[in-house]
Amino acid sequence: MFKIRLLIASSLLFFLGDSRAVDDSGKAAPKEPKTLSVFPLGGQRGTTIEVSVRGQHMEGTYAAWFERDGVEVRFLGLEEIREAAPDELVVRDPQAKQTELAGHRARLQFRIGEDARVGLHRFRVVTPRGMSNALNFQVVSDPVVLERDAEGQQAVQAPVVIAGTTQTNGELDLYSFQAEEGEQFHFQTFTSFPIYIPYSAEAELNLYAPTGSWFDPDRLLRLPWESRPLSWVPVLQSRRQGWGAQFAVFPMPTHRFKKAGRYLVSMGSFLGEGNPDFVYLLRISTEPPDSSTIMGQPAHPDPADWLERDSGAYAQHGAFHQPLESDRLKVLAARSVGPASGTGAAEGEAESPHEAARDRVVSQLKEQEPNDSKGPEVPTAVLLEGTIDPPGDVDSYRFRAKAEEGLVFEVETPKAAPPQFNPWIRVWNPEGEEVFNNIHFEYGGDGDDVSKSTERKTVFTFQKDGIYRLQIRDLTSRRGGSDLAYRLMIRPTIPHVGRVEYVLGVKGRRLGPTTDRVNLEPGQSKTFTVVCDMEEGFEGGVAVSAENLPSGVRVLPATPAPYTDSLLLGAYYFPMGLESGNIGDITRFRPVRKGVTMAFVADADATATGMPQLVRLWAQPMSGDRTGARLPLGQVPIMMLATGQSAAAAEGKKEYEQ
Amino acid sequence: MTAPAKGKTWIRAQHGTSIAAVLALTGSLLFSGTPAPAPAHTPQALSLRLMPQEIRMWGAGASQRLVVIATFADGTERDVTADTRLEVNDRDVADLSAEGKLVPRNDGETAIRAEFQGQVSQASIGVRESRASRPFSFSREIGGILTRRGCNDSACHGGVKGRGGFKLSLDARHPREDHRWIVEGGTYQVLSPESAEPIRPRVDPKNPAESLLLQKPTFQIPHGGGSRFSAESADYAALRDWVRDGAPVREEEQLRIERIEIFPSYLVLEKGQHRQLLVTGHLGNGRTEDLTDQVRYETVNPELVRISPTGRVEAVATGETALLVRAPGRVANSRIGVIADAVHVVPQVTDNNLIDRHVFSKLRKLRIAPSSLSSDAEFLRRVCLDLTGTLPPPDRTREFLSSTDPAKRDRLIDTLLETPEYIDYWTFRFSDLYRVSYSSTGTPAHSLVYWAWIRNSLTENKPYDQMAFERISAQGNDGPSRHFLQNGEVSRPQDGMPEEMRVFLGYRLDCAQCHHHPFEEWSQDQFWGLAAFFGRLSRTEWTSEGAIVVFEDPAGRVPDYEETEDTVKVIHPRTGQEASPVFPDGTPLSEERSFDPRLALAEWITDHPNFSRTIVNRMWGHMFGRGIVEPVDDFRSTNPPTHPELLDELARDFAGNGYDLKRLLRLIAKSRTYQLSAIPNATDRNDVANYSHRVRRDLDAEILLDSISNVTGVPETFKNNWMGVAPTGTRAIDLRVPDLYSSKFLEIHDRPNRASIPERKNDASLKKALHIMVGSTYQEKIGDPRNRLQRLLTAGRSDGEIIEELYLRALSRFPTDGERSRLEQVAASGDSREESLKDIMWAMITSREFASN
Repeated sequence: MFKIRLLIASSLLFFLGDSRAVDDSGKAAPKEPKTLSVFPLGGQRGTTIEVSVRGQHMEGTYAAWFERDGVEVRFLGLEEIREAAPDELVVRDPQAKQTELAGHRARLQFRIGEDARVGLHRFRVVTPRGMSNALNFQVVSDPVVLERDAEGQQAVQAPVVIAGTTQTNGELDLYSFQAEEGEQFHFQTFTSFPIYIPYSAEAELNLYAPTGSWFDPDRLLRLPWESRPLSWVPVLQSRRQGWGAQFAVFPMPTHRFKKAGRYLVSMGSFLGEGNPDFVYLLRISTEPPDSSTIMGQPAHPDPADWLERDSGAYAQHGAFHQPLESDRLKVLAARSVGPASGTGAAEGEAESPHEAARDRVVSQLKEQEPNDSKGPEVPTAVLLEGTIDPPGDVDSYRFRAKAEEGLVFEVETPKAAPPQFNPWIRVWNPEGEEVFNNIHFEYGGDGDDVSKSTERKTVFTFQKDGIYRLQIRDLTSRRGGSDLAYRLMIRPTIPHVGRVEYVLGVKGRRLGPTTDRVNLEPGQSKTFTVVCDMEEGFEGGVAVSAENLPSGVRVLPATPAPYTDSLLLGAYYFPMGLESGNIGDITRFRPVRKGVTMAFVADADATATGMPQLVRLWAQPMSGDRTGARLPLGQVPIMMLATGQSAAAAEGKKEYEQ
Repeated sequence: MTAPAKGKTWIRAQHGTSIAAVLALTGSLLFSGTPAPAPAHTPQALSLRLMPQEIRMWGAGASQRLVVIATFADGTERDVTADTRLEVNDRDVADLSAEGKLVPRNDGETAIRAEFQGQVSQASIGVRESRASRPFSFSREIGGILTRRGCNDSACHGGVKGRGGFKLSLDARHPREDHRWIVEGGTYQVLSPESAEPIRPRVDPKNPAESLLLQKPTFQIPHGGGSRFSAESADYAALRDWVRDGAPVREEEQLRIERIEIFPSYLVLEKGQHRQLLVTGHLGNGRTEDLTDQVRYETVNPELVRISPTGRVEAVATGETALLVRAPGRVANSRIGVIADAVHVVPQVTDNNLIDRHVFSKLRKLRIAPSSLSSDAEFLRRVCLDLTGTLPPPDRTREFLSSTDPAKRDRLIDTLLETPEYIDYWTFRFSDLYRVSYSSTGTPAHSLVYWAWIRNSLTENKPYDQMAFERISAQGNDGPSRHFLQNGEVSRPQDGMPEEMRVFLGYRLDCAQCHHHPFEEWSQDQFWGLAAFFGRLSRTEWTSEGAIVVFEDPAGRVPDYEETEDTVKVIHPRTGQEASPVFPDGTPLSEERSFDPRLALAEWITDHPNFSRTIVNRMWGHMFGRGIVEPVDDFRSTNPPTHPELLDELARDFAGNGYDLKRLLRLIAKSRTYQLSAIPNATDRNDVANYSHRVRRDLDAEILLDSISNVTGVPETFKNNWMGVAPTGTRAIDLRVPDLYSSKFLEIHDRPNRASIPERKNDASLKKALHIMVGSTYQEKIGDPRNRLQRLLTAGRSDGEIIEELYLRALSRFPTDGERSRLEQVAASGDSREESLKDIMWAMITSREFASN
């Protein structure tokens, strides 16, 4: 899956409202540098290009910094720009209100290595007042051409990636290309359109044939896309705003041309917004995107990104694609505490049932049709592979469960995923009564919001012995096909630490960061919150540690952040109404969450680093007197500033007080 | 009249037949609108019809009314029963009563002969079970009386709440309920199965004459409905005897009236003429029965037509109206046209296709001569706007007007149906009907994919039954599934179901949600049986704004915070029981189809005879400004079609040719009827419902705005409620989610918000008038320095050239010599040539000719 979005934009949102973060001393902090966009948004491997970064408060910029290797950068210069915000730029979300546009443009040279990984490379500009928010730069393998504003219809040759800008509201950029009879084309966009509100700023592609018409010889005929119109795509973590994922309209459309000729594709935003920071990449190719060409994926995936749940409310999107392998029990055990992963059981101590479960062998079985009504009996440590095909297909299995036995049902959809394929798992007891399914609903918001979701993972404790019947199908009763493939694992429960994440600051009641970096002056502190999911009955704790801290910076425990309780519910929905709609234990669908607030504290004599550096955070499961293996928690960019760089911002303080 | 002699029966003429004047007019005279004088002469019958042609009588109490119709040389038909000699061959089998009705004597076969002015017609007679009395049926006997006497009329006890606490079903449609209210008593409550106090029987079997059921209608005690019959009447006796017998509820299915048929179904009378109707009931046992004297007659417009309790129609004033015939459990209608005394010979006009055959046939009956064929210019503008919502460009107008190709109209229609503008326009129209809006789906992207599905369907000219099937049965997250969402939530079954029925079958069922439909046969049970097909409709979602997946969930709809799992069930409000899916004919959804109820419903709807009628009528209504049934989605027995045979044939043609919308539009556009001029003649001036001439109508808001933008050359800027702007050149009809884009002009001109199925009225209003005079849309476009006028001036065009260009662009015609001359004077007379030409442009785009089609 691909998402037509860029990290920049959500970061932008975080800073649009109030860039004057208040540090823990309560003083008004100076304005940190803020970047809005980079143009072009991407470049081809093995090329050297000049880019411009627009932003505000970038005075004194002297460098740019990529978090990982692959792109070398050289600072070329900085110029001031003045642009009034257009009248149309009135945003409903006051936090996103933008009163003035970019104040600076930094010119940078990017040398993209031949072996740079395709994907998003995060970088920041560096000023005496610290580093900016991160922007993403997409490295691609296809040739990149720049949009030429002067041309009404710019001719391009596929395969190509076009880097452009939707400069003004209502702007449509048209590109023409040659297609041969029967040729299938694949289109893909990646944008930095700011997400002011959930459904705005979707990139929109439209395809046309220059047929002309009786009324107008220049008339274009809009052609239908052949791909499904809506697709849910994960939003990169730095773009999340509490809404969780978003979905794209025609995210990667395709079209097979019946006739040879020149055709046009238009690029614009769905609701017609535009400004100089609406930058985009558009890929046109006869080859479908693959791992070497797809855009919008991190070039360096975060090892801390553990996906275990997947629902709208829980905002761990993308988990349905998470591979399930036969070593699943061991992988989960490694996130727990036990002999294999930690200090080991005490001598003479009996192995726990969970530890025994961990060592079970997971069978792998492929479905055998017909299995619509009465399927084969399968063990309770099994990975079932099947396909919902033909349309309307239903696959059944049976398994034996004991009273008080807890089993976990996890499903992977390696091809189509929700909302195109929504695996619906239902289980009946020997008496033919449905005992549970993987649809969860909960109430929230102000009481009239209801979330109802198909869940990737369901935990269930059986009440009595017997042979149970399991059925898997698509939510719809008519879909089917080879892309509706599933891998369903039935396994014993393994108590373990699930997702662990940190958040810099807490915005309202949401688990949404207020910033994505830490710029510290000597004597300052910045808090962060760590939230851990305790899965399948894990009752221990988690120890947090940090590595690669700048000299003079320490990590200390702090008083809990506000709204910690609501954060621990782990939901988009707020605590005033959160309530499970399912009968039974909410842990069937939700982990228990625990959190801790900590702080980066800079000593008064801490020295400036000049450039940011990544602090690695670790989480270590604990239970009783045993500990488990260290789990990656994330990396925090930190920069120590020289004394006075921030405190001297008297004008900023005055402005803040006004 | 004396008793008829055995073997021969004569009925003498009661009055002389009026002699109609016949004019031999030429078509050209008629088309010019000049009525000719009407010399009188004696009409001569050319043929005779004795109705009914096959008479079957069962039982001792049977009877049959007879009607004799003569066809005269002037094409008229008249009821000559009173002047006809009738003769039964074998009076041992059947005979004529003193009232002129045929009555059975003995079982057997015979015939009856009618003779008038030397013309003869015969009918066969069969008598069966002549000694057997008919078994009692509550609905037929008691319900029949209550229906005939108007007791169960919608204005009386058959109304929604009944009257005076006494509730009867309309036209005795629900006899068991009626029996309960009569025999058990109690006060009806709309939303409750319980009756309120006092619960006192309305019959007293021990003392029948004391029964309320008898005392009220005979006004022995005060009765809001007055006296309905006397204590000496046969109906009183029948009711009294029924009460005395213990007020039984016996129901004989074989006697139930399945269908009623009226002869004639369409009737044309001259003012002052009379005609006897015949009403035949088709019973559950397959037999027929003469109901002429057993039904209740109503006229929709008593100022045009009066009708006696025995079905004798009197034409009072010219015009067209409908008659309703109410029998126990059934309603039927018949249309009646009343023509003036002066009768014209309507010239034959060429039928281009089946449409013309039906329309012109009826016009001939009504003695209306259709207007002449429209001019090329009139046709060009009309067909471009109706098929594409777009004005023709001047060069195309010149090309078309100068062409001498006799087939140029057909060629143009074929061309227009293949233009991108056709797709744009009908996507807009169906987006209207299917309610593509932000307020409906709650998310613009949902609306967009819904819109895209409509557009793609029209681009590929998808068979309409398939389109309907996809929408009704939609699941998943594709376009058509979005229409089940209301602000992101699945709409309630009682809201969603009536919309499908209205859109695809033309039935408005909403009333039946709370009670039996007040005017129609739709019962509350039928409503909830249909609603239950939507009872398992549910959704999951992936974010608060995310990709909602619609599916059939046995657990039902997602309950909101104030609901429970019970309240999301489909509960019949009167019975308090959970409703299960049942088709309107009472057939429950089979178990094997219950996993996907809407799939079965979609099949039922698309197979329903009214499915094709409804869409044909919609498209007709669009092309003519008036549906054959009007409003176009209000099919009911009390709102009959103006041309039922035409509607049926069009529907059959549509279904038999792949439910092809383009083909249907092509058929309509190529008919002469569609191409008639808007200039009326003397005979069709007052006709509004028979398509004798084009009835101009105002352009819809979006079309008007686009046309103004087109003529002025200044595209409209559509800003949405966020910060975006539709791409430059976007027309109002191209707005995919229109309620995202506020527009003062469109609101003033009554753009519907699509919160419910739009009904465009285009009524005149003060705000429209003011906007035309001083509105910003007009002023800004006319004053725009880059507009078309400025470009023409900059190009050095003369006044005459500019005026011609504006005429061609706005009105699709050249100015007449008089217009050209006068406007050139105007252009030259002002202080400023530019200002004068602006005035001309303003006058043009505010003219009636421009703003209507």
